Amino acid sequence: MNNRFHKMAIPYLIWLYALALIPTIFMFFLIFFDMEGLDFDEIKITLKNFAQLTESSTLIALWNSIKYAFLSTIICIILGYITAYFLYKSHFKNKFLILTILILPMWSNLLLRTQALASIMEPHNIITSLLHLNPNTQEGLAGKGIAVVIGLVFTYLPFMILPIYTALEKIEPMLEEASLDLGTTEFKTFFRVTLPLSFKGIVTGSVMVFLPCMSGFAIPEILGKGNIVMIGNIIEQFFKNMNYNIGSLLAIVILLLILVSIALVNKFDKEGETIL
Amino acid sequence: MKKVLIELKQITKKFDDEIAVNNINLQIYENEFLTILGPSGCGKTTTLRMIAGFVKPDSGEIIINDKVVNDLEPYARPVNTVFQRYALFPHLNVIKNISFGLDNRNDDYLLNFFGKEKIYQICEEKYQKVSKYKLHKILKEKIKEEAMRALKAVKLEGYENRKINALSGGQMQRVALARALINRPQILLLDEPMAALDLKLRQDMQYELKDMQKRLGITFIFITHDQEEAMTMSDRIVVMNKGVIQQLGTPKDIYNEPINRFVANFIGESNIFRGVYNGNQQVSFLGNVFNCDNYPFAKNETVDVVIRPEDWDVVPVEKAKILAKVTSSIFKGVHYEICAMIQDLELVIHNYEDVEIGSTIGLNVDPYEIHLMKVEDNE
Amino acid sequence: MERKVKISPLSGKEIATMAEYGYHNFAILKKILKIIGIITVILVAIILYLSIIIIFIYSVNSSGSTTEFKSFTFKWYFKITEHRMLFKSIINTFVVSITATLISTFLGTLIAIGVFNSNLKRRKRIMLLNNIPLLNADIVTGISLMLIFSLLLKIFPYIFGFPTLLIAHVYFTLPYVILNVLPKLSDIDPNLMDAALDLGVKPRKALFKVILPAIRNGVLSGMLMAFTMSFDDFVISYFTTGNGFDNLSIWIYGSIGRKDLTPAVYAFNSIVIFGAMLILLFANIISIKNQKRKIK
Repeated sequence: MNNRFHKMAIPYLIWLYALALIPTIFMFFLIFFDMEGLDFDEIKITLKNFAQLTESSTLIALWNSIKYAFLSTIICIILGYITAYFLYKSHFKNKFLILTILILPMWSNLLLRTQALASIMEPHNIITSLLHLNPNTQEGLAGKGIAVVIGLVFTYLPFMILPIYTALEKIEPMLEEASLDLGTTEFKTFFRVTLPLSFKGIVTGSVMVFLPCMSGFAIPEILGKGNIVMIGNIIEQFFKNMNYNIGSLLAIVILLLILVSIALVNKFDKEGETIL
Repeated sequence: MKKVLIELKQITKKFDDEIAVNNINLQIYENEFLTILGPSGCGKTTTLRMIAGFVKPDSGEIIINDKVVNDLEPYARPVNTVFQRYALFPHLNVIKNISFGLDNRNDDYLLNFFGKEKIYQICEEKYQKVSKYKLHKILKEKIKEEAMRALKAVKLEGYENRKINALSGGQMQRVALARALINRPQILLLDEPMAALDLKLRQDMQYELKDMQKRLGITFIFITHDQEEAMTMSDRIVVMNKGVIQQLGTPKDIYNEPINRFVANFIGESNIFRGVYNGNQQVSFLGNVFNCDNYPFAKNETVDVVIRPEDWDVVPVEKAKILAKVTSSIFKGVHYEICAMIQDLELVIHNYEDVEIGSTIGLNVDPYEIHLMKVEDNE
Repeated sequence: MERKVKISPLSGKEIATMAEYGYHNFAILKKILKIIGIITVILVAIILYLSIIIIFIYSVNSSGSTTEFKSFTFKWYFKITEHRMLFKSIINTFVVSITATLISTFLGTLIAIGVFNSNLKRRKRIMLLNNIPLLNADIVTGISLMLIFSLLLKIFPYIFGFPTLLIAHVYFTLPYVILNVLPKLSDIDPNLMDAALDLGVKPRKALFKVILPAIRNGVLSGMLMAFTMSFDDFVISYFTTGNGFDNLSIWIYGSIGRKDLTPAVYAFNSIVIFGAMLILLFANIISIKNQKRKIK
């Protein structure tokens, strides 16, 4: 089936080279330079940018990113798996409605949602006001690490549920029956059949939660109140201050983590059937 | 008297408002090859799934080994199943699929399964002491051995590390068989296991299955909609339709003495006519009176008369009771299949010699080849 | 060990228990797990919808405060258009999202058809690169695009703003359309296109008469996804816009920083959610009706 339609793909290939590949290479070169913004007149080749990687602020931010993203991913796996499994086992098989319920919150602005969360983490908030609760003297969660984790989980949970549900739905129901038939109890059947067969959904979901959690900067900024600095915040700062060289260096660090993640997804889900 | 292994007592199952199985009673003996035969939607698969435990009957009891097992989960029943599309585990290789049932049992069960004394003895010899851990190790080795033996029994040596999706349909079926049989079930359920195989492979498998059943002494309950398959393998056949057992008997009984129109039509080709039983071993149909065997029908009761195509005798016109006009004659290898008309009724006749199309032939039938059936009310 | 033997009244036979087959009865544990499951699902529902409910409460709170509820009002809903900067950013958001979605849907469908008809080598290369915008972190995508656009600054000094934002949005929404359309193309009978061409239909006509109707659902779901992603985007837009061209997310981010978020934005958000709810509910009813018709 090789007719003239195939020509329609060529411009896209060029487009992808121009917007996806070249900037990455460009970024890679930038990390060896020292300059003001993108002013190529006063350009110096240097390795001093790499010193930023050993700065304690960078390391703390990197550690924060990985720590909070990891925690959020684990919580999302637990909540997401139970929810997806429950939906799969319930006789509620209307996938369109399930998708609707999961996607609908995304139509609400991410920053606004985060801001709403931040506001109810204050000791005085709209809920205490509505319920006429005595404003307790305890300090709220806002500005603490746990607030960031809650914000990340609240935002990215749907990205965990969807791939797991998709993976579960693709399991032949006959397989669970076969396992029971062979003398394996429901619990063991879950661990020996259902869980391994839905594992690719967990991997895809984890990558789809972990990456934005680790690299984002808006949620830690709004919920961390400046106390919690993640790698995304540092990158944002460097670019804001026109230091593209160090900014690119840190972005490349994230890029490396992403490449590892993509390799992971490819390993467990070769056809990519749980991604969309 | 053979021992009853499974008994279905007044089993009824409804899905929503549709009756899938309607008040079935059935006794299945030890060491028997029983086939449940019927068109799709007749309730045969539901019956099988109730025996396996995947579906719970609305009323009635399933009795295995003299005990009511209605409340027993599928995994506790001494029953294993070969599924229609095999349901092999895609994340495990061939040998892990086969040993799946034993892999997931606890050590107490396995000790009894392999024989406590034997395992203790092996442990003693190998390690000079008996501990839980050492026993566990030996049991794992034993499972591996057993799985290899099962693999060999289904003629798949050398395939142990293959992936499931790298197997052909026939090989998958053998793995499914080995996976079920390794657990040494008392009863093996087979849910149309040959539906996906091609004709030649299917015929080979039929003999192999029958042979296996005899050798192992396991009760096989086989489900199919293919009457030829049922005839070849079964000790007894249950013909089902619309959730009701139509007839239960040996293949020969069911072929020669179908109980009603449905069975006669479903099993082999038949000529069925309306007739009247005259009493005194006589029946009249097609405008003639024929001698027949003795039947417990009332005098002048309307009956259905079955004559199998091969039971017609083509005779010279002057000696014949019936005259028919030949409309077609097709060579089928061993015999000719002749279609002939008597007024507007069509007959099918199997004959060893060809006849001319358009000619009139004479037909006779021996008394013992005439089979009478009760007329069903709903027809 | 003595055990209680129950006798069935129907057959007079003993009723088998799980214990005699070496299994425990897990009924209680199963019940506990089921309760845990239900609690989790409820918790997840709260997680998904809590902020939306809070936003709705803010939007009908007459005091405009996020800590004190005074009385019920709809006044903020009428102030959306009055707040100049908010209204402008809303318009910008719609203009960018709708334009980007339309472009992506149109081009993405053509590209998908092109990719489908390409040889395996090119197809693989495109699909690999196609994953980059999809799986890359927003911040890296944003920075990459910003760098490329900065290089063009010398040629087009006023490029930052609507043009860059539009290109960026088309860039990250295209893969969604392509990935939704491609599987639908594989479902088409490969002979269909050949048959159409064989019957003397011109390729372009065959495209509209044969292929497009068959992939309609994929195009629509790709379009929906593209719009969702474009509408809600913050990070990529943040890095690729300029010259004061703010979309809603960027405006909100700025307002949160300045601590002067007007409650009108909560009102706007609630309208969007209610609108989406209605549309999706409607679509759901239609799809259920279609399914029923198919069964009949």
